[in-house]
Amino acid sequence: MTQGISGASITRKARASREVYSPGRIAWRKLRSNKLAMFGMIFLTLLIIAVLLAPVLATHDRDAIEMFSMDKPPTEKFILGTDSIGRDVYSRLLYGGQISLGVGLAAVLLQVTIGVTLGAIAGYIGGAADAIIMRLVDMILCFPFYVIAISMAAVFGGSALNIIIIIGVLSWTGVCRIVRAQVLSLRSREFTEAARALGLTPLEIIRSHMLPNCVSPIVVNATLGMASAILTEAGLSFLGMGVTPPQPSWGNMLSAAQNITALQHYWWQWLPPGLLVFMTVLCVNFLGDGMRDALDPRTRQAKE
Amino acid sequence: MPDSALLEISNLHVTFAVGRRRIPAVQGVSLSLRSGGVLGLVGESGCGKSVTSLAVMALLEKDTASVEGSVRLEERELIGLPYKEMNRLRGSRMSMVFQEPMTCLNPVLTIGQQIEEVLQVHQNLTKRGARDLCVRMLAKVGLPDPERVAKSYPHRLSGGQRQRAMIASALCCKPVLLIADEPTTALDVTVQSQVLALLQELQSELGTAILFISHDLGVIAQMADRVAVMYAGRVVEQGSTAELYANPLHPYTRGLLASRTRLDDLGSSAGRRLPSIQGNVPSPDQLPEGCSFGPRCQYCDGRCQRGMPELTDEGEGHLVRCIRAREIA
Repeated sequence: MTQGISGASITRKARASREVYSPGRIAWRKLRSNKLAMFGMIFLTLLIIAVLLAPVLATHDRDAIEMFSMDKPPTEKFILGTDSIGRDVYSRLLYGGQISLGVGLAAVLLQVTIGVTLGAIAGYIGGAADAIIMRLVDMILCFPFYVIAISMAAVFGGSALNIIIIIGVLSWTGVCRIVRAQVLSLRSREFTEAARALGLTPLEIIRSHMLPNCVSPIVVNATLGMASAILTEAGLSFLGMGVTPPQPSWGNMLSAAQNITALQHYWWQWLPPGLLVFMTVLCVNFLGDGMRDALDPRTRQAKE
Repeated sequence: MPDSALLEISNLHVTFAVGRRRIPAVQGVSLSLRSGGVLGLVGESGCGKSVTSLAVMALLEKDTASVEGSVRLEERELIGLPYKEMNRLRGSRMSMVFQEPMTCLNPVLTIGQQIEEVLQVHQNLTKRGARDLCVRMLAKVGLPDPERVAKSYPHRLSGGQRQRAMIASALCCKPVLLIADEPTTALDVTVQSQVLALLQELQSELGTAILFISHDLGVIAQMADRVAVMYAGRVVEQGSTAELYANPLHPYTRGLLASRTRLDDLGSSAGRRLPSIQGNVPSPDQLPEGCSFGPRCQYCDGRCQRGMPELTDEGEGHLVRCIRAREIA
């Protein structure tokens, strides 16, 4: 018996010396070993910093027109040349990034908020609430996305805020389905019953017991949703339904360079915004895939 | 005695609606538990022990289970109590420990988070205060290095440690009633006896009354001062532990006691089959005519099939539901 106790205390000491790994830390370690995801994360971090520091980094005013310097190729004064009315492309790229990334982020926040709320209600309450919400989801999934998005933009007018609302309202269905399915399965788990026996209200149970269990799929879905939100914003702005000039966004900068002359001779007008949209979406997807792998419990055994 | 009872269950009926069928899972159970006492509830699987306890906690789904009768805690009627008030009692005045410590803790939250939440919901505590109380509670249930346990996720703990953590979360608001639904069934024997000892210790220290549910008569004998034996949704025998074990009256209780394995028997009866009660508990929607234990009872005769026997007092609060109890004793 005494042997048993001393043995136990030794292992206890050995265990205490090791750190306690939270699920978040394990996922972070796995994410860190994923080179593509880390590349994506570093690129996005730098991009976000650059975009936030636009007022500092920009060499010109966003809308300042330099008379007689239209369509000028990159020079020392205009690092990435000028556009067709003589504005600095580099400065506009930075400010346009604020819009493009901001719209992407806000749209994702909106869609996650709607999706999580409705999904949790549908899953926890069930019955009629569930039926109504899920039919709503089915309905929205039936809409051809771009047709509806363009019509809505045409009706409500193009602005950053409207685009956020359009994307948010049309694409919360994925998150909603995921959260509903998770809540439905967590509801019958014993720890939920134990939580009820300890006097927690449904709201407290959902908030502090169920949502932490749904974080991984939500995070992955939101990241990938951000890529598509950025693309949608660019697409709508390109079609002239999105952010209206003179406010720049990567989409409407591309749109402005949408003529044969620009395409053939003024590469600095369309290549940088196109490349940024491409790289941003690619990196967000890298990061999203990496997070999916890192947060998947089935691959929890991290390679040391 | 009955007016000083902490928990008074009288004529409790629970009926489940499954599709169009109505399944009576608990039929007229009456129990009483005095403050600071331990009432054991014994019976085979499916005889309504857990349903009774869930009905007391009002944890049954309202749309599938209908609960009738009366459950009084500290002279307050719980059946029909509004959800909000019931919720305020759960976890603070009455609490529950479940069978499976492995699945009763949320895997993505630390032990500390789960206990602190209960404290914050029921007591006006700051985060700091909740943390302190949580660590003290974890120390009280005998967990080594409670600060580290509070920061640990459930998968870092063994089954026994998790059950201790569950007990800590159930008792952290010092409830007057603890319902322990087979709290040691999922644990191995040595851990089981440690957890039982812990429950006894906490019970005498905090004065919590325990409704202890188990199918293990040995465990009940160790824990309870009164025992109720349930069969097919009814109490068939009830009495003080000493009296009931020494002088079982109902054939079912006798059968249960005879089916225990005893270490001292093993030598003499080596090679013999373990005694057992033939057959299974009838499904609640297919109860036989008359005494529901009849088909499995070796003493059953024509009179037993005429109707369900009443629970009668055979002296000193020893109740039994068998018309032939006196003859076969």
